[in-house]
Amino acid sequence: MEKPSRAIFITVELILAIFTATMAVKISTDEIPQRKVAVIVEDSGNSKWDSYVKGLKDAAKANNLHLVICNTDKGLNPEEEKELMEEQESKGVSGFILQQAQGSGGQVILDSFHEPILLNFCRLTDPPMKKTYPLIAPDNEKLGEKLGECIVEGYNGKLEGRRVGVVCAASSPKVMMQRQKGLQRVLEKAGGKIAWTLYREDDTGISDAVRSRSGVSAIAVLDTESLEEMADAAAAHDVHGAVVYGIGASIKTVYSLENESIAGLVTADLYDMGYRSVTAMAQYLSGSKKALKDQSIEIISPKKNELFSEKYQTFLATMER
Amino acid sequence: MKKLYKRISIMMLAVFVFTFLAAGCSGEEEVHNKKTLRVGVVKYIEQDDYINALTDCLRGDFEKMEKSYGLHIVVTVKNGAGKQAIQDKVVEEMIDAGCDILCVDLVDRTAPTKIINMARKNNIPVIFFNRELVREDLMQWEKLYYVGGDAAASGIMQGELAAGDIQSDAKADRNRDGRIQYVVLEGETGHQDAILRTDEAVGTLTAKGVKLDKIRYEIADWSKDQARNKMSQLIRQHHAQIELVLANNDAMALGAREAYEQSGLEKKDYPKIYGIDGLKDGLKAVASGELQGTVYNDKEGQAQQMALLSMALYRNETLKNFSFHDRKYLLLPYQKVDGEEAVKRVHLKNFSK
Repeated sequence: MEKPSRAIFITVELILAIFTATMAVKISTDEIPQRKVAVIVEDSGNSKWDSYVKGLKDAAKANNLHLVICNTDKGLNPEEEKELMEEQESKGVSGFILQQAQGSGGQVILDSFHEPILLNFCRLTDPPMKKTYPLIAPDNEKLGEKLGECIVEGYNGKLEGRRVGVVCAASSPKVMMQRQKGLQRVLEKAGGKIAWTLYREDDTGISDAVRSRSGVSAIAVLDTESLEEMADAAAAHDVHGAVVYGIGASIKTVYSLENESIAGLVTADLYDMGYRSVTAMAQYLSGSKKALKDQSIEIISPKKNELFSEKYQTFLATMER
Repeated sequence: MKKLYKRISIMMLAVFVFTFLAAGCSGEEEVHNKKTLRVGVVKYIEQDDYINALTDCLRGDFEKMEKSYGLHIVVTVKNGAGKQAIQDKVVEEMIDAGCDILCVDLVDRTAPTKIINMARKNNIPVIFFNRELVREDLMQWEKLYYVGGDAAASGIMQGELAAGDIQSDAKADRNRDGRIQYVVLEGETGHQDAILRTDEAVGTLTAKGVKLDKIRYEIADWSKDQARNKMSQLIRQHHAQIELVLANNDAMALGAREAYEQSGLEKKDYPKIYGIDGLKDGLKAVASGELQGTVYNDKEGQAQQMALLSMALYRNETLKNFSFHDRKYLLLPYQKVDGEEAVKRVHLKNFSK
């Protein structure tokens, strides 16, 4: 009777020992310290983020960070952003890189998290403000100014008496306001005048509204998606002969400049914004507490005949996936 | 001795249970947020008019469901940039960020294994759409489904439309040789729908007694621009000889039409051109007589089935109300659209602009 029980005992112990060893290995491999950083931007699958996301990923790889780009839809609000942040917090995220969601209460929500937060694109402040979060973004007013300069240059500096229509995204009022401010300053200085401003909603587009307006020499477009739509309208000769200029950051807007659907393009180096943001976060998490600070992103205004020159090769390469 | 064995066994068992639990806890358990359904849609490429229209319908369906189910639904749409390796990576990132249901239009219909394995490991149901994967792959796991059209039927309908027009119009055979010289504009190499649409359209014309002479089959990647370029080359080579163009989708049919408009040929020398999909531009072109017909691919129906199936899977409900073929396939019927039908649809959908 004793022999079979010993054999069973040894077999069982052997199996348990193998299991224990396997699980111990699993625990040790799971605990390789790779810090996790979550990124939240609205409509995260949109191609307008391609170069930004490429910058984030390249920097994450260089800094051995695990990057989580949260799945989002259009029209992100502060409550949804909070939900995503809580979910990622529960998964052990060490820091956040955010596009601050539009809507009230956003600042209070951010204040409730203990992880470091870095903002991209724009800082939306709403009282009561306990903290100011660092921002890495293009200067939106300068983007508007640059677009204005582009239009003035397109008319050889002679904008006297010319009317300009403005198209912008309804979803980012603060950013649009800043860009329009810069644009208006330059246009008025050159003698031009903003005749109308239209706000594009994601679900309805803006072509029909623009079709119903006329009497402008140029249309200044202040965001990527509106610019893509207006470039299509211009290609279809559906803008009453107005010349389209715009701020955009997608490969489609570059094609539009190349095929002359638009006459001028102003863009920010979003790859650089993504890269610098992750690098700053990685440095902060490694103990460099001053790494998270405001930084401004370079603004570019490529000309059609320079698009494929050496000067813009890197910029174009970051837009391709 | 026996007691000693028993004690050691109990101790080892305790160590085993502890280690097992610890290992389990250190893994990344999915936080299932009951308030929010996260749907990840991964297209094969960014720019495909039909898929984009279908995706818009899907977003609209989920939006309506938010109200009726009292649930917040987040639909994230990404794409595989035309490369399977990129699509696999995108799916991996979506799962990593938190996703309840995946809807995937595969880049390569023969290579779904990585996606299936990742989804299975994380217990995330996958609804494949548009590109039908191999049956054996779909049967690998019970939470895999396919929603699409019956591609063979679309080819048959296109063939029937063309055969009807050719047989009722004596001028269709312009050179009066008793045969129709034709060109096919195909979607892409190896795409199940492209192969079936072409084979069935040509087969149906032949079966209906139309004698055919093939001039060329050209691959134009479902793209209007590519179709226009390839058709322009064919027009330069064959001038007014081409009497019929069968395109695997509307975009390519419209590209062919544009090539004729740019060719300088007189309208009487234009061939009959047929598409498939029935998107806005295709319907308008059929209504105005620029194209002679199209076959309506029911994007609204497919999107609705995908949304309903996603919800049922998320809520772990019975699937008995779905009309599955072979337990896994939801196939929506196509509809023929000739000039008269196109006018009705254009009017109904207010595509006046």
